[in-house]
Amino acid sequence: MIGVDSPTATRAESLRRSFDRSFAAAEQVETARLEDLLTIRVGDHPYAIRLVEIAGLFTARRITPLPSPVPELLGLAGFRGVAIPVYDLRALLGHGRDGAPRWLVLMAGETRLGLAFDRLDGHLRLPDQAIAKDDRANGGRDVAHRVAGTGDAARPILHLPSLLDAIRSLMLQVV
Amino acid sequence: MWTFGRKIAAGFAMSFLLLLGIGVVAYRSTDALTKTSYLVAHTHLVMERVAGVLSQMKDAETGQRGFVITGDPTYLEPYLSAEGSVPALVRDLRELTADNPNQQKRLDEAEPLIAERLAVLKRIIDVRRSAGLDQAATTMQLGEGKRLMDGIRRVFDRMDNEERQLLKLRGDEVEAAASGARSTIVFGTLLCLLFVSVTGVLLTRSLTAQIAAAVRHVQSSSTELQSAANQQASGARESSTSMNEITTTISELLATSRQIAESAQRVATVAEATVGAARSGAGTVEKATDSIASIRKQVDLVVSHMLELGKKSQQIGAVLDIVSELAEQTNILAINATIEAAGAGDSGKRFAVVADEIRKLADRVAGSTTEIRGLIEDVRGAVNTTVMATETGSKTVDAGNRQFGEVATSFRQIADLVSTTTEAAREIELSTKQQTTAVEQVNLAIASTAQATKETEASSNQTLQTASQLATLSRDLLRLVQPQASA
Repeated sequence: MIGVDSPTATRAESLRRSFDRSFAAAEQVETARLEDLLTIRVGDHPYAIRLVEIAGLFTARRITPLPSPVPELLGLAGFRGVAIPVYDLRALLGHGRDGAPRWLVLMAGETRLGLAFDRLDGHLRLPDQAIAKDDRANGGRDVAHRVAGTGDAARPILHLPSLLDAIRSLMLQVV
Repeated sequence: MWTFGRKIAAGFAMSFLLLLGIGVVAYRSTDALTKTSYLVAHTHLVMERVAGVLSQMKDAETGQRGFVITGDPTYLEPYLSAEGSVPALVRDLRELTADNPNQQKRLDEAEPLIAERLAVLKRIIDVRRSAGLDQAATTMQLGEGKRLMDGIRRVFDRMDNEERQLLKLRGDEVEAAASGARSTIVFGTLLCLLFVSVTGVLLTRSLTAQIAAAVRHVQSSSTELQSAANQQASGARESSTSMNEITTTISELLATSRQIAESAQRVATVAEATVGAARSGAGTVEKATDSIASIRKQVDLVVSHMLELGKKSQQIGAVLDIVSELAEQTNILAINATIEAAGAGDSGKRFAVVADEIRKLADRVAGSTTEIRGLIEDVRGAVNTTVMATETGSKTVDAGNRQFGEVATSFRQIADLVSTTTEAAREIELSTKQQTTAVEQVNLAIASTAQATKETEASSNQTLQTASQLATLSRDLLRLVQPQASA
């Protein structure tokens, strides 16, 4: 039985108070521009994805393999009745392939495709000052244009439109 | 090789035999001489008796003539004497010549003549008395008396001649026997002297050589004896010194034996106390074994509780997995809600706030589940560690239990061994006391031996002196026996 003074009870009480406070506090007007980021792991490499560039986050989706000359294409997955191609971020970023990725995000925009990765680290909301411009080529493909400062480590932010361009160029090479 | 005694005895035996031979020959010669002398005397006696018979017969004739002439009876006395003695003399002659048949024949021939002559004389005397002188003279003139007397003289002359021949013969025999005896005595004596001289020389040479050899041997033996006596004396001195050291050592050994006896007695006492302590220890170990069995039960109970706690932790982990899954799904929903809110424009901002709070809450829940998972893992690790430690403890308890059993067995063995040790210590004590007694006896014996060694030393010195004297005596004796050798 958990005691009153146990750390778990203290943590639960803290969560409860924070949750209640969020509804009790007055609405704040945000003066600084904030960027919502999804922090992920591709292989062992940390990355971030802008939340505005995705249409949804999913886990443990069944991916049906599809014969394709493009090795980065994992297969097709169903999202709300629509079959959408899912690509492997590890292959796209040049980190190799080891097992089936558990997570995937659905890209926003007109072209719907899914990007699968290994692990979800969390959600970040950073001011613009915390995001630096980085033109460094990453994995041979120009997909990460910025580096997000996340405390003690800096992780590149994937630019999904560029990634989409890369996929398109791959398709064109095959064709 | 003949011994001295044998040689001397042989020499004396030979001398004795020679002397005995000489003596026997001398005895026989003397005996023969004596017999011959006796026979000569016998012959002289026979001749005397023969002369006596003739003389008596003449005296009877003379007396008869005187009576006849004078008529005086006093003249008859020779006749009467002869008439009585002549038969006795004839008997003597017959006895003396009993071994001579010739003389016996002559006596047989003479005896009637003598009797007839005496009868004639008696008849003339009777005639003189009865008829007077003339008649008697006439009878005498008949010449019968003369004829008879001549016959008697002839017979007795032959007897005398034979006796004289016998006397001469026996004289020759006496001379021969005396000569033989003289020769035997002279030559035997000379031979004996020669033999004794030769034997003496030989014996002297032989005995001198043997005695000299023996004396040299005695001299060398006395020298060796002197050397041996010297060695014996030095050995006796060394033995005396050794005996003193042995006596000292045995005295120390005696003291050590007494100390050992006392130590053995103390060991026996300590061993008895140890037996008591070992039995007490065995009892304590048995109690400890019971306590360990109880601890084992408690440990088993702790293990079962810990395993139960492990199972509960696993169940908590399973629940926590559900909670973690829920937090993850909540996070996904919150993120998707944020995305949707962003797509909804301004109307979605309030919803975005809520979604953000939900996401934060999900993040915290996820963090908490991570912490709880860590805690549960810690608990499970602690449980596993505790179970392992408890199992190790259980095994240790089992090992301890076995070891306590072994300790109890060891205590019993110790008690048995210490009992044996006690008996051994008592035996050692007894043996050491006996040994002490024996050592005391040995000490006494050694003291006696030391005394004997001193006496031996004195005796050795005496022997040395005696050997020296013997060497001197042997040199003197050798000088006496062989002067040229010792010079």
